[in-house]
Amino acid sequence: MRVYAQQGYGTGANGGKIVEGLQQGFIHGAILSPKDYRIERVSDLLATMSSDHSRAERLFDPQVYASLIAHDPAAKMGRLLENDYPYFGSRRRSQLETESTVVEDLRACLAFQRDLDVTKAIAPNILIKRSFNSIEGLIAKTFIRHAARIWAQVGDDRPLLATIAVDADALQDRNELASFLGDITVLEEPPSGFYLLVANPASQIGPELVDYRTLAGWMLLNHALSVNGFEIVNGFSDILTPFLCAAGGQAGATGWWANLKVFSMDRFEPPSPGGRRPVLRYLSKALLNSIRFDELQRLRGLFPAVLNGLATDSLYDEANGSQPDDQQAEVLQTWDAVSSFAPPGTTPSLDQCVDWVRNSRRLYDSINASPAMRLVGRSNDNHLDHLLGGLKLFAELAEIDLR
Amino acid sequence: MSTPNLTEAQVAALCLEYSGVTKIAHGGFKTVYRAERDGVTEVIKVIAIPDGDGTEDQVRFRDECIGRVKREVHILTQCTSPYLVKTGTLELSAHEVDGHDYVIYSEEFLDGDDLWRILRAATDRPDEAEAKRLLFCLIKAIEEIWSLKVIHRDIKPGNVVKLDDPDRPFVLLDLGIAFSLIETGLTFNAGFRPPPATYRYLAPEMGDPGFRSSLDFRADLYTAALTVFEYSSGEHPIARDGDDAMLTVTRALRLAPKSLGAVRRDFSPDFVRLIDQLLKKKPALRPANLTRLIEFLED
Repeated sequence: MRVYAQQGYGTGANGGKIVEGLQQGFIHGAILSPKDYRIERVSDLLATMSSDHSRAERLFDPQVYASLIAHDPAAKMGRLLENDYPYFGSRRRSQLETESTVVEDLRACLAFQRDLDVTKAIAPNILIKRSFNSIEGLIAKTFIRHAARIWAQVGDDRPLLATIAVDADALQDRNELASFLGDITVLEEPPSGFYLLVANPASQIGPELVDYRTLAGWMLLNHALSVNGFEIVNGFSDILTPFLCAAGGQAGATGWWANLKVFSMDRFEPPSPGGRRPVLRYLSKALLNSIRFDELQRLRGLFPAVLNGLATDSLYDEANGSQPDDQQAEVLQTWDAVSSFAPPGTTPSLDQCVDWVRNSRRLYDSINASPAMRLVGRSNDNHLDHLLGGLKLFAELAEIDLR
Repeated sequence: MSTPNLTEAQVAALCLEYSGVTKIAHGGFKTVYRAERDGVTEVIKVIAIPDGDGTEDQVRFRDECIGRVKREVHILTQCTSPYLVKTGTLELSAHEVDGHDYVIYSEEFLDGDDLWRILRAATDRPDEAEAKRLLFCLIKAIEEIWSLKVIHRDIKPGNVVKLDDPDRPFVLLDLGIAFSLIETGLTFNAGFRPPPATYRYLAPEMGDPGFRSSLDFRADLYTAALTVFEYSSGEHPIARDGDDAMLTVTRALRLAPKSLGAVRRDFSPDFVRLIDQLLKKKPALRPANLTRLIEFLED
């Protein structure tokens, strides 16, 4: 299992957080996004990664899924509509219903990536809303069908990942999902793999709090594509990464802001007024959840199992109220925790996933037995039923016996 | 619906270039004869076309039967794989005998038993290397016919012959109900008839009334795995002997198959995993990268 940095606004100078994560060995690559990053900085960071961390995966998410909302003057498109990224433009759905437009967009986007020092190219796509059986679903399949052929024309020997970006709700329709999978697992000219994005209505929801049907569908995507020999990189997968990799995925990604842990198109919406910096959190493997640093401070003496026992625990110094210095410390701790579920070269098993959830339930129960210690709000245990339900439903859909 | 079959003498009279015509099998509308032509043994296949009663349905059913034979012969003449039966020297021709219609053509004679006969008789089961060879031959055959956008739809032990030839250890026969993605459908009244298939070897997606819009070669991968499973173990992973058609189909659609590892503990986990995965009900869960499958089996 590999964990990548999901890059976004606030990376820091000279690749800041990402370079630090690579140096510490907590991440094994990065997925750069153009929206908040000038092309010069993209090129510089790719060059640094290439020279100093040559084994790290270097990916570039072209974010073409935002092209359908780019016509909205209120949309927050960042660098995408500036000259840095000429492949990107506003599109209307009706334009993309024409196959030649899809092919032109693929060609422009992939030719752009050919000149980047990425280890794999990512073919663009639009977001499939509501249902796979929709006009967006058809357009998305057109992008996927043509991607490898266009890359063969404008690209080189580097592998190609095709994007599948889909609404969380669409993954819940098992018949349409099975039909979509049936189509894309027997492409005439398949890509090497897929870059999967599952969109939530809002990114402020905790990444662990995924609807069990969505998790099952997401895992099924990983599983079916993996069975058919594709590499799968999950974007914005955060704590779900080990679950998705147990189903067949090879990698997942997460970042430092909420909108880098959960994929949502709200990233392109104007910021809501009154926003404030989030309270720093600690990702507890045992809880399968991030808790506030002050909650960690309260719990760590009585329930030491909430601590991961990893090097990054030291960033949450008990003497300092368990408050880390900054966002960088928080994301390093997150990457370290997620990576440690299964080091590179190993794959978590579904049985392990079940054990993690059941053990987490026991720990929550013992914590919650004490009213003063009870974890509430985003730190509560609501996610556990969804995780276990998702595992069970996935096993049913994938025709696997789960113990 | 009568299915008359010709006597050996009647076949000999229709196929004057052949000698020693001997009936060797009969099933459904098809009767098979062994015969010699210029010192080479061939198989003459005689397909009885159902007698018409003048109704439109009957005329269309006759057209369907003739169309299926033509398609089978057409596919076989286009294929070059050693793992598919080859056509013989007698080209497809139509005949009327005693007021009944027949179409006749020949195929090469394969000097071996079919796997159904072997697995029902055998006490010794094949080792893993032979089971892998069988799957390899079937996948190569599937690859060839899928290149024509055709699905066999009737891969089963009875349609695979084992030969004593290292270059052709197993050969797949009988494309009589093959399905073409390109050509116009042959089945008339398709929406009101059960799918043409041997139910014991029914790919689950064939049970979907709308299967014609989504069927692909993964149905053949499924039945190839069924065939390997049954040949390897003597047991069917899903069906039970003595079940009626309804129960057999229900099992095919709903019942999880037994793992090959449960009946062949001596087989490697990798091979067991592959067969088990090919037996998944959902086509998307079956490994369908034919190149990778062939590479794995060649190792």
